[in-house]
Amino acid sequence: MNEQVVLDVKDLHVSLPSMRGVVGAVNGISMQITEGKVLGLVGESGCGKSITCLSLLGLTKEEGWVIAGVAKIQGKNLLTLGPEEIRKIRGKEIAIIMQNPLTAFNPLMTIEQHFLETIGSHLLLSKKEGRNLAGRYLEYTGLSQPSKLLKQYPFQLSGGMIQRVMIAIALALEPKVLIADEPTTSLDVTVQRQILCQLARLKEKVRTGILLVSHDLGVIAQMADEVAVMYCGCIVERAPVERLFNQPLHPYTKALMASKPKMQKKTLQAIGGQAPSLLNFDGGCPFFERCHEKSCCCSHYKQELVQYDDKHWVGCAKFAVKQRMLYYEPA
Amino acid sequence: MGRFVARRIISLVPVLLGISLLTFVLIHLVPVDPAEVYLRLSQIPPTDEAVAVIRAEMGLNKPLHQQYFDWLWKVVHLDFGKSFVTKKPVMAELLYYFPATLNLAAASLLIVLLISIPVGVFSALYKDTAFDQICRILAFIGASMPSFWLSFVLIYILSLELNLLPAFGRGTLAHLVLPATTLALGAAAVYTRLLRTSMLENLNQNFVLYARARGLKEKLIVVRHVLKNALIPVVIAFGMTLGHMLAGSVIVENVFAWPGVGRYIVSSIFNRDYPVIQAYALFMAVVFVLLNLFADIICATLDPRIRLGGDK
Repeated sequence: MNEQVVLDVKDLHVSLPSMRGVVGAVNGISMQITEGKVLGLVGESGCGKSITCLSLLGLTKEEGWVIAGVAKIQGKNLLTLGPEEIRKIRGKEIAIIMQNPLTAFNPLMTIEQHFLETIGSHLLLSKKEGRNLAGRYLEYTGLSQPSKLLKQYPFQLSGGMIQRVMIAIALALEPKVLIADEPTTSLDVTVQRQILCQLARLKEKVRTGILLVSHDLGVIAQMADEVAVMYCGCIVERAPVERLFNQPLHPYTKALMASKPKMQKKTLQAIGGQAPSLLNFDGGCPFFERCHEKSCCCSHYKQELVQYDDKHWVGCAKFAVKQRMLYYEPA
Repeated sequence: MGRFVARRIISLVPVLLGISLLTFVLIHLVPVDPAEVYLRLSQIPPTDEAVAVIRAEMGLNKPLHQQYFDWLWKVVHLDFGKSFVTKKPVMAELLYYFPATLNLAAASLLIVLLISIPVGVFSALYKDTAFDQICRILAFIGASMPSFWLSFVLIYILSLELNLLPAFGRGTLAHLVLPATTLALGAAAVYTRLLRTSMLENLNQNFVLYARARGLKEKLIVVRHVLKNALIPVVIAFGMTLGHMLAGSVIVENVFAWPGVGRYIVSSIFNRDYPVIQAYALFMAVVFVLLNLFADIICATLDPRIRLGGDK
């Protein structure tokens, strides 16, 4: 086993000011992205998935935002780099595929110009070499007639095509890490499947570590090697994909699995209640209000991931208590 | 692109015909008989016989549609008749005054661009900083100062007190500074704000975030992704302002004794010099139509969605 960790995130916190107080959007998450593997990050809307992605790229540095923790790539901490240093990493070491590909391209520029400016920001290549590189990667993503495509404008392409272009741009510089932030949410299901297959194939080719963000459990089950479940800015459970789907431990993960649509059942099951406001959130388990398995100690429980077994981590008081009991029991 | 321009030019033909019709009708809507005006200006007593002679001479006895076609035929050949006052051809008169106005408009345009583009860009990039606040206040002052007041203040300070620039007339480059500045400041203030708003709107676009995520340099993002997109609404609005400038600023030209179209047309209106008024109205309409065409062409070069809109 020579699995190399390409991006190591430890205790990432992002808090942002608002009119009514400080919002803790990301509260101490840790994850490792391994070369050639896919880490799936699932969670409901507003749980901090996108903010996590953007803060890794240093794109959340607005006034008043506080970002703490360590995110190491090749020994460098992304969170403390200067603007020029992080710029060199964006797109080159960590590339991103965004949601809503149609709005992510500048409507006034051709696909070729998007390619060339990206390549030109990181490599010293002539226009011709850049064009060849672009054409090659467009072919990898299954797009025919790349030379014609390069001359076209974003509005002339369909959603699926433009998402492939985005993947091609992301992979053209052979990044160590690829962040795919809901890459298929705006696409219809057949195109979604094609794109995912393409992504899986290219992952093998380029040996990139992928952070796949989604709220779609189906996508995660198909793509991910390991899954982290996010809730209210915390990772509540982390396990290899089969393990997580077969034996979820955290009550939130269980509730998520239960709310998957099933053919036999007519009504969709939802998780009752609402996620708590993260405004001035003062600790305790964030899932407390909605949990079916809560006990008296849960409201004071400081959420942290504890190791359940060698590959399975969970952030629930039930398991934490068990761990501590084991720890304190005389051998 | 060629097809887009051709389409736009063809669509101008009915517009221009409509304008010519309106301009022609204009003179028949005024309650005063042009023949009478002509006689008065020529200091001939307007007796019934004299009026009848002049009406026949001017073709006012013919049916209206025939008068229109006669007039249109002449207009197409750039013959707008003769001024009632000077008895010279209107076209020659307009061509005599127009270069001064063009000169003033071009200088103002340059000042507007030199102020509004950098100030608009930087006040968007440094939003809510002291620089932005100062520019905001200056823009409000600039936009709300009436030009007659501003021109007198400028003359008082720069000409009378400091004796730096000539107060009126046309001749050297120095003569141009005060009227051009007066004409430009108001527009510059408006366009600074417009560009700032447009820049801010585009800075929040998803494609700017994606450009940053691809590791582009900030300068490149601002120029290529933000400014280029932000300029489109500004160019469209600017076509109109430039039209107003070319129409000749009545106040500025009068205050600075600038021998332009604006001053000429005011005296013509006082004299009820109908051929001049008619020619001017038509001329200005054509100027506006053409400037809009240019603005559209510039936008089409900037924005492929306009250029290729029809043939996807």
